[in-house]
Amino acid sequence: MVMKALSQKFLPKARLQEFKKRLLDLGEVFAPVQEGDVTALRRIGSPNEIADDFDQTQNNLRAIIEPQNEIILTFKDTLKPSLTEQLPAENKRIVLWCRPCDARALSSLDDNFDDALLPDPYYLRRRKSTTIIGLGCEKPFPFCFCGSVGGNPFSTDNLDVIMTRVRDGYVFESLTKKGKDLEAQLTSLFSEIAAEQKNLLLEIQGKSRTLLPRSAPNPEMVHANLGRLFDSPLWKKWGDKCIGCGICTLLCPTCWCFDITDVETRGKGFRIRTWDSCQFPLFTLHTSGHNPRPTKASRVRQRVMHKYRYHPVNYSGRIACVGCGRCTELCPEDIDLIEILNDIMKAGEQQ
Amino acid sequence: MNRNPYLPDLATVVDVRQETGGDRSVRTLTVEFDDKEVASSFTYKPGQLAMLSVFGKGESMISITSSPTMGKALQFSVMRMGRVTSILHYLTKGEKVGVRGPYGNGFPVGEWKGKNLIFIGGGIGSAPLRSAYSYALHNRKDYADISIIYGARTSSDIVFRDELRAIAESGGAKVEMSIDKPESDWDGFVGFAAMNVKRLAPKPDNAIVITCGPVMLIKTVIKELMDLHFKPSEIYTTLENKMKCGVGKCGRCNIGPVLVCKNGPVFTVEQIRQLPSDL
Repeated sequence: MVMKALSQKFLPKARLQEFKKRLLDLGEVFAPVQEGDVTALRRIGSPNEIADDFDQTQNNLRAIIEPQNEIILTFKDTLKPSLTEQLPAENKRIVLWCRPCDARALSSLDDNFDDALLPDPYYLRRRKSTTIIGLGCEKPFPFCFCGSVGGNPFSTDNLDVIMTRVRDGYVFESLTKKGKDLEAQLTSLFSEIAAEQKNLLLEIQGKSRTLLPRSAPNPEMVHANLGRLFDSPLWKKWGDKCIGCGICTLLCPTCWCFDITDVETRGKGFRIRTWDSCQFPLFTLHTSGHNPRPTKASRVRQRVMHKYRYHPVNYSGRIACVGCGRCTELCPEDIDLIEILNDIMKAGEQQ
Repeated sequence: MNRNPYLPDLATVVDVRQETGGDRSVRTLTVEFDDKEVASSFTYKPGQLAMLSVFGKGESMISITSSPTMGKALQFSVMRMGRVTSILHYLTKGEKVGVRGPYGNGFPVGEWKGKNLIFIGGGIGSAPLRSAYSYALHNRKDYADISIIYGARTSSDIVFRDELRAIAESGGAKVEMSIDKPESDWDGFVGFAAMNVKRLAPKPDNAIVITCGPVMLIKTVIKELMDLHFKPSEIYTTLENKMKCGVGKCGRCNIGPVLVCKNGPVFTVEQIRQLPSDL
């Protein structure tokens, strides 16, 4: 959805460098960095590291809010242990220029980690102390299909600020109190927005929707069909193609699965949370040798079912897919999620 | 802020009892929380689970074998299977473990009042059953007939053997034990637990069945119970899956949209039939 901005300002291109510098004075900044052929959101030390013109970042907000590895607990002396919980510091963190789809994905992560009964303090501390500045997609990327799953290239869900590149600078729209506070701290950099720029903004937003390169079947129809397709042969078809590398899940912005393991060296111990993937056979393997998801077909099914069936069943209809297209773009076997969804529609009609 | 759900409480092993021998032996650890406040605030229902830590080695989800009617100490009967459970077998009195929980729904023992209770277990599946039948025996007048049907591979694999014999002798419950293959000094039934169920043919009237054991046992026992006209809504089982967090977040113990750690581990056969066959 697109929320009405609390305020609209203009950041002239000439002040961009100063804007980045000032952000670094306000907290830890995470922003896109060009690393060879890929762009990734990284912690920034200097404004010059930030890429202005960048493709979709390979990683996403999960890497910042629920990092790939994190020590959750340390203990001294494993025989007579004393425990210390390692909660993340509540430092102010600013994400500069995440894509709107990645911010939308946080709703799925929130569903999982921010439940009323047992909220996850590691996730929540980072989530609450992070101000997220999105960058609207004036030109979507080749695998994007956000428009088919309830999003759009200028969605404001979970963003505190959305910026849009216009001629000679950026429109800076504050969407939340956090965004307003940030704007207030940078106020000297902004100009008032001109009527011409406002029109340009609307034009860019309208045009970008028409530029979305791909569309996927209606997610509610997929959801309904999946209810009848647990035993469909389509899972074997895609499972046979899959090599189980897990990249579709590890770089998916709505994936959250993790492992917890202990590491011990010389009486000092660490309990560590690490990203894990439903695409790995060890993920569900019982010590007895029994595995409830023993085949690639069953694991591909789990991924698609989780995104389009189980998550919406548990969380009032929310599809755990934001149409970023990473799973398709990065799959070494060219498995295309949209083709799987099309198969689901076809198989559903045949039933 | 709420309490950190990943932070275990320290507990001390106060007793170790070897239940069975062999390479998949079972030991029962009795542990007490070090912190008095934790000890008094930790309350649980029969059939609930707890995450047991051996620091530096890892955590394992284990069903609480004791019943809340047995006092403040917690008991865990652990089969030696993997890394953490093997280390748990090395622990001796005075050593420390971490405990967090209790997790899961537990058995609806309150709803079963006035019913005949039939416990059917095999192998280490008796660990969660013990929590429930101990509770029922403690509140004996709340329940009608209680019977325990238990099968093991050999007579030395029978978990809680002495306790089961004592229960039979006290008359609190009828106990029927079986082993898979004949042994010279065994005068009980020989055959799988499901065959014993068929032979005993318990009646479904006013009865609740609670079954737990290896997947094969659960499946075959349920089939026999169907033949005996038990209703799927009156058969309870407790499932297990690989678990890491215990609080519904790590993503691996699901069967369809249901999480075994949070929505389970106790399900009726009726509920299981509505889930995908992802067991």
